[in-house]
Amino acid sequence: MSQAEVTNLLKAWRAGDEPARNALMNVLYTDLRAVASRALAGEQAAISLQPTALVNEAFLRLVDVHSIDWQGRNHFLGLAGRVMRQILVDQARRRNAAKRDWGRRITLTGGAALTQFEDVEILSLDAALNELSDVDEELSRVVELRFFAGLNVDDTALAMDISPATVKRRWRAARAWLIDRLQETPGG
Amino acid sequence: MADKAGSVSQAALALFELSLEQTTANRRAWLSQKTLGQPELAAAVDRLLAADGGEHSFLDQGLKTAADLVGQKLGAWRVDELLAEGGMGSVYRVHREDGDFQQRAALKVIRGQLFQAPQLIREQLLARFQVERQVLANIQHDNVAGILDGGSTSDGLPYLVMEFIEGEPLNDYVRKHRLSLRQRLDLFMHLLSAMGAVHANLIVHRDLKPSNVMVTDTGEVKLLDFGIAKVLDSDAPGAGAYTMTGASAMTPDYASPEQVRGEPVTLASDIYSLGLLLYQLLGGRAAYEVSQLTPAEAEKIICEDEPTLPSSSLRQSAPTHIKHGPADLRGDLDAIIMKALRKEPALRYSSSFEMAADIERFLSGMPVRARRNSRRYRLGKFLRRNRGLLAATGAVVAALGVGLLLAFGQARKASLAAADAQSEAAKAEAVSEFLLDLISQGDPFEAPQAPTVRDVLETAGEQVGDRFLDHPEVEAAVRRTLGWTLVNLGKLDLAEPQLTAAYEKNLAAHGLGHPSTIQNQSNLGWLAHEKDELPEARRWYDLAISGFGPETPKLLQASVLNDYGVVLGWYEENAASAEVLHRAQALLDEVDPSTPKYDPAMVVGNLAVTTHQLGDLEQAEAYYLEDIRLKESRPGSPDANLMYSYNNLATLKYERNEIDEALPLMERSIALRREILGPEHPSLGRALGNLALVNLKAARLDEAEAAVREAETVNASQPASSDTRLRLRLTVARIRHARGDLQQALDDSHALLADLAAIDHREVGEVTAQVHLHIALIHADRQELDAASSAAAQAVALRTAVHGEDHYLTQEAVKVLRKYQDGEQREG
Repeated sequence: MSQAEVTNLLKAWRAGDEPARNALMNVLYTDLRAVASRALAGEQAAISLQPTALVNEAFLRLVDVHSIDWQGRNHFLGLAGRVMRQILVDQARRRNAAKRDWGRRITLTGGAALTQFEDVEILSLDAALNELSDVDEELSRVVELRFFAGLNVDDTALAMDISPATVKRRWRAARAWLIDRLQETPGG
Repeated sequence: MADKAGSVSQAALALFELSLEQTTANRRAWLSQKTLGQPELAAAVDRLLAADGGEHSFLDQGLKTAADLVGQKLGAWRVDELLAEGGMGSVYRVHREDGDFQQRAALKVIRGQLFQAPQLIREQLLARFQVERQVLANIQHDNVAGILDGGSTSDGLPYLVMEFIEGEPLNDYVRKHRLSLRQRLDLFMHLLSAMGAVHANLIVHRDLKPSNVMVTDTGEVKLLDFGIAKVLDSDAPGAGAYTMTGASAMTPDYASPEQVRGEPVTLASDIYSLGLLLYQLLGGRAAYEVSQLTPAEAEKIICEDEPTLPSSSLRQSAPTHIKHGPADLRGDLDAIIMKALRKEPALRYSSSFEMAADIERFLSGMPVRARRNSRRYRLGKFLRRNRGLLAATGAVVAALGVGLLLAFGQARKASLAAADAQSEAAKAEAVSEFLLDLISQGDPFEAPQAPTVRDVLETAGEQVGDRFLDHPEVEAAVRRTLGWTLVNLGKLDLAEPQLTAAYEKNLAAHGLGHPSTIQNQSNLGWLAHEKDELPEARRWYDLAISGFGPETPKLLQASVLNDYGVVLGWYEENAASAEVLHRAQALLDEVDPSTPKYDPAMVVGNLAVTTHQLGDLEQAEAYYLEDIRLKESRPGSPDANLMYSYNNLATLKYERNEIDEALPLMERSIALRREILGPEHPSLGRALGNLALVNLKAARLDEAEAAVREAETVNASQPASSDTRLRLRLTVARIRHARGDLQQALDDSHALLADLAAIDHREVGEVTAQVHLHIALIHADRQELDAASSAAAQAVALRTAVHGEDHYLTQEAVKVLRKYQDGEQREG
């Protein structure tokens, strides 16, 4: 799909077209998974696979950035963050299965990694986030935007239509809840 | 994994979040108090507090920003505070620590997180940063914020150190200092000079907006932020790297048409942005305000709409900080700004030097280029783009012209007694000059930019007061004509001040009961009606009618009553409407047919509709036939109003079950609509829907189906909730029913009911009643009389609410209901 087509999907979704959102998620899923897989296959060993960077990169690669405003970028990144979470979870599940079968452990990052994502951590974070979303859905959304989409406080505030101060407070609450939750998970 | 019961409760989480609003020192005490006597809650909150204080490498790693640079030393610079954080980087205030003097500066650094991007992106980012550094190093200009230093942090993040500008953004500065026109232009000339230096280096700024143009405390202009600048010279380092910088996408308010379309950006795009800046600087507000719109809407406006002329914009609302007036901008400065704002890049100024030269010409009183050499362009563009506008402007001027000449004639008659020939000549001249001025506004050779109809009328309204100071009765006539033209064009906000001012003058010049005053009152009544204010409309018409006397022309009386009758009918005051219209018709019958503007068909068509609404079908039919006879007997092309007359009579025939007579009338109405309105007009769709109904009633199902199909095509562009499309769905259900597909017809009807329930407007009550009646009919066909009567009862209730108990449609529904109730009793 061309940059113009993806850009149009983004515009259509923002204008209230829900099918466009699904189409956009599909594009993102295919695109982001391909990048992640390439990295895993060792094609670009020097690449550090940091999800927020990938999501930002996807925005620059897929969208005609000159015709999208800030709010549009935040919407896109929010959606990409959700997709990224799904991809990371899917991959971690697959690798976990592989580990059980072959007793082999692969890390998601290669080379001089800036980040080490442990599969188990991803899976437990995902599970904890699902629980958090039952307790307070907005809190899990803040985590998705900040952690998986890499939005800063102001951008998260814009994307969620709440104040930056609220974002900060909500993030801190979500973080404490998640840390508490993850700590009590044995083997995390 | 632990089970869910192990996680902290919602109550504890909420309480913990609330406690974050307390200061750190108070937090524990505050929480102890809140959890007093609730040990479980207290324990849960404690766990959150502990977690909050702890570190979590995994959760925290994604969020590191460069914020922790504060306090660090980068090269010779100590970082003081974070000034701004954007998508790609952060800007800090720093000061120089070595050397003897205290130097403040701004330090810009790539956002750490993005720098962790993959190799390709990282290289592009570095190249991008390199470009900005290069750009700033190359441009040595007093009005461009210069670069002081550069380097990279211990983490390898590149940074730039730039001149720290102490001042305020351009717009704030002019607002605060209430600059004169000359001072504003001087500031702008400095900006043009800076842009000249930028362009001389083959660099496009691409993000020119008021917040990127600072004015220092000493009044010096400083151009900032080359963050998304583009190097046009393809040999330069970093050229072509620009595509990835747009994460800091430009504000749509300041984007050029080619930018929003994603087309190549050139120097001409900066010229356009300069035009927008000057527009706002002189006109007081933005040429376009699109940031609240969706990108698609914004793109459409930026690429297609011509902005209001800066002088008109200033006339509409002048901010208090602007001391100059619209007249200072009209002509040269309007033309200069509009030339920079051309949609076609090639037609803008070719450089900032050229623009500066034109402003210089204006300042020295020489003819500006923006108004020269462009007549052919303007005329071509005018004819190409504004064929409709030309016609509209022409029509307005023509309507005004005729109206004004008539008004003048009236005024002349009124003052004949004075027999002051000189004064007559002066009045005639004033009126004809006024007209000439108006007409020349529509002339593309005289106006720097094609005026909109609104522009013409606004100017007209403004100029009236100055023109006729010595002739209040002429002023009243001119204003009333202008106001009435505006009402007919739907420009109610502009019409009201004109009609009101005219009324004051008329009262002063002629008093109550004078034909001019009566006509003015009637116009004000119609204006109130257009604004949906029935009581106000009634007050004006009653006032007008109370002024009728033996001297009042009969035609004037008839037309005032005719308008009033139409207004009353609109609000379903049918009995009152009929009474007023009968009086109108009686007066019209007394008018000498040779009177100018006499129209024998003026009232009877309205009378037909009102009588039809009242349910007197026989009388209504007679009126319709008379209306049609009068309109058909007119010489020349067919009267457009005939399409309604045919349709209304066909509807009446249909209601009376006279299908064979309804069909040909229907077809005549449709043929006329096709001829006059074209193949896509919604009104054609409505008529086709009616044709389907008539065919259905005649059991000509294939013809009905064909008409529905065509109507669906014609109506495709209307919203699904439009009355026409809803009625069409009912017709489809009825056709299905007639074809014997009862279940499908029932399902369709219920789906339609559900959609109707979500809508609220005038006619939906009647449509809903018709759907209920249709449902009743289906149930009756299936021998489900119980369901049939309850559906019919709903129709009765609705029609009673909409039309009243005695209305023939309500009575018809009552009859249906009785039939099913009787059937039920027989069965029971």
